[in-house]
Amino acid sequence: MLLDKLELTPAELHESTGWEIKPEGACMHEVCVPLGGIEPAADGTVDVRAFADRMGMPIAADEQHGLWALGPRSGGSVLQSATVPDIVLDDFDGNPFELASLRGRKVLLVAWASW
Amino acid sequence: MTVAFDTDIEAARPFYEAANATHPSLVDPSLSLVAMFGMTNVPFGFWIDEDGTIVRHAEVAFAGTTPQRSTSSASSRSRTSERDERAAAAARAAAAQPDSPWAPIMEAMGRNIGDRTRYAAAVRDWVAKGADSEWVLSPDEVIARSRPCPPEAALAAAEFEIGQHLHRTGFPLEAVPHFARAHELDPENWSYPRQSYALIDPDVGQDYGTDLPSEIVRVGADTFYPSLDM
Repeated sequence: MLLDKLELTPAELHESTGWEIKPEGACMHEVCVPLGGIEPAADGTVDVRAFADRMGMPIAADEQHGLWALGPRSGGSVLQSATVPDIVLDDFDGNPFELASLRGRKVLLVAWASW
Repeated sequence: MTVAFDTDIEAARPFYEAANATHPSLVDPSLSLVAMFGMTNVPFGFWIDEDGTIVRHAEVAFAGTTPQRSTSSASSRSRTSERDERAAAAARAAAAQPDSPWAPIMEAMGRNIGDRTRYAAAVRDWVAKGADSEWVLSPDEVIARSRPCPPEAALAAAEFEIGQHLHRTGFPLEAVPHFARAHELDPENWSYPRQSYALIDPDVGQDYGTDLPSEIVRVGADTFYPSLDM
């Protein structure tokens, strides 16, 4: 996910990464990762570099454009659970489509491209 | 359902319109599913059961015979499809010629994929038998067979995202080093260079110093479409 700053409030962190800061750590769905002392600073912001380091999420940077991107969690497999995550993608007309709307049916998801 | 991995969805739209699909046809211009599920090329597919559980990991998903090919009528769309199909067959034949830069890649594809109808046959088996299909995997097997995500691959996803953002926002030259770094970090993930090389505009001066078939051969032709484990 793209970031334009590296100090975020817990609410901003949650909105941009999906990870919610709770007393037990950074949590998403049923997974909580202990943050071991990483807490919001006096101004209420979280140091994204320290958070990312603890989470195993590498950061790419383009300092010239004031841009950072937080990669996915690394160290295991791309899938940490066989439960498909909540995915919302647009159709060709720009209408959002929730994958979860197909519950109750088998889904074959095939990726293709013009290239 | 289908998901188009196209930074510019207008590039994908003519194919979508020609297919006249009745299934959900979505777009993923940020290629977010590449890192999420390990979809390192197209066509790649995975299976989700009625409860939202992935029962088959992302893997090469050639359809074999496409609906377009099996639909023959006198409609103009069908005539277009037949013309496209002839062009595609000619392109495949040209790529297979010994002097084509794609020849070793085509050879590896033949070796790794073999019969292109196998995947579709497995899908049909799953549709008919559900959890009793021999191709359905347990949650632990799905996780174990899904692509590893070392720090380099995770960083590649982040570099690719910055490259895409710069390209979209009018900085195509500045996007190139990020796209190149993504490929360098995760060389066997062909979704990234296939997309970034397709965005090259020679008038802008974008240059990777190589081309796609040369890169595939350098990294290893067998990595382009890994063997189908079924």
